[in-house]
Amino acid sequence: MPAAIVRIPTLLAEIGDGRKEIPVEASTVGEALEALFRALPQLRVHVFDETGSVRPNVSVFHDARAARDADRLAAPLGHGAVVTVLQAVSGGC
Amino acid sequence: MTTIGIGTVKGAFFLRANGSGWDLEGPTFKGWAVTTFGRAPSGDHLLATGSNWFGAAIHRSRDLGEWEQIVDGPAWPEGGDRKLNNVWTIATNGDATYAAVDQAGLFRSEDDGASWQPVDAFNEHPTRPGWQPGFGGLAAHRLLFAPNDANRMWLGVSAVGVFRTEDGGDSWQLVNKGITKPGPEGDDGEIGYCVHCLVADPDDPDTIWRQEHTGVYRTSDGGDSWERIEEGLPARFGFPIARDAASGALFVVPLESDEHRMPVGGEFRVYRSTDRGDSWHVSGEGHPGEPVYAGVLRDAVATDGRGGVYLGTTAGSINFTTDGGDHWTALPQVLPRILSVGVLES
Repeated sequence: MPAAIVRIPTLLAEIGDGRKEIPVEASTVGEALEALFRALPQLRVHVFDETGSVRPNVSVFHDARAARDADRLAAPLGHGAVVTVLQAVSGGC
Repeated sequence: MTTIGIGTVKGAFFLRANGSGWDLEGPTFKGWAVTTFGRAPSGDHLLATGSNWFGAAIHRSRDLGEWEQIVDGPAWPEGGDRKLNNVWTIATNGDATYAAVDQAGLFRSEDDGASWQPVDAFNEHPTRPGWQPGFGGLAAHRLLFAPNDANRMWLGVSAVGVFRTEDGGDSWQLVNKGITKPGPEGDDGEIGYCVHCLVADPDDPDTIWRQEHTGVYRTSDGGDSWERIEEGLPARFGFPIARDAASGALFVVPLESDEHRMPVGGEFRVYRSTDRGDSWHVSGEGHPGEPVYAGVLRDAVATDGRGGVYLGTTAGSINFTTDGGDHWTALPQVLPRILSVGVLES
């Protein structure tokens, strides 16, 4: 399986184990997130909501492309791909 | 050593008494809203975080220093239409710990907070299809226990009303007779009340005081009937109501009307009743001499049972008394908007 990196924002890193980059082995964007949750199970509830979708104010990128919907989550990863979870610019105060 | 937890929209702070004053530590969970504090039956500290981006969760600590998120925390079923937006109350009664949440729900843990199950009789109450959110959301938020009967509990829900169970949560009845609804007159339905806060007398659990959207009320029969108790108050509206167990004094922070929601005339005053709510007066000395247009939210008052009353404002300031409200002191620090205050060690 391709080796990839999942990058997470500071708020999630601080309730994880402090790392902001977590190496994973995964074939798709969705699998990379599942690998993240196996390593840090407390993060699942903060990325996905009760509908099973990425939270409305969370962004997921596959390299530089938005990847939050189901089709993009199923997109294959190349070796060295970077999946980035971001705090969206919406939703804050 | 007394430790006061201050939950703000941007993290938790801890005030520790140092003999002559207070040391401020934090923020912990920087960037997260800290919505409430609680204890597990083991004595572990619990607190709830929330975020407009990343949702809500409960965390555990033995020492208020190292925290670990509870992975199997309260959660609505995946695939449903309910969302867990915030955890507003964590309360332990014997071996059971409860979490009251937005969207309105009640969850129970019987393993020291490690896993949580829905209290279905409340969450699927027959009136639920008619429940509507208030400005702050559709939130279950205040839970009272009868010290002499583990089966009796009261739960406040905005903007629905107060529920009572007599059988440990297997069934829930609405108990709001005598309360004025915030909506138009003529609505005689059994829901639509907007309870902001509840506090009880542990020696007489059928006596409960209630800060409601529409005023301040008291029941002496466990909620079967309520009466207004507003003599001396400059306004009926407010969010918290608290009781000092040492003196029995009650405290409210009146705000000018539900439309304005600020201290009347900018005079920030904590009002106290020393006659079980029959009358109210400005509590002691030490209130701000300059105008303050900040309020105090529902969970942002805590008491230590020894005359200590600690409150945090929406402007991030902290006021406290250690003598049951005779003298108030404001701390110099200014924090983010304060959502919750807890006496964590006393």
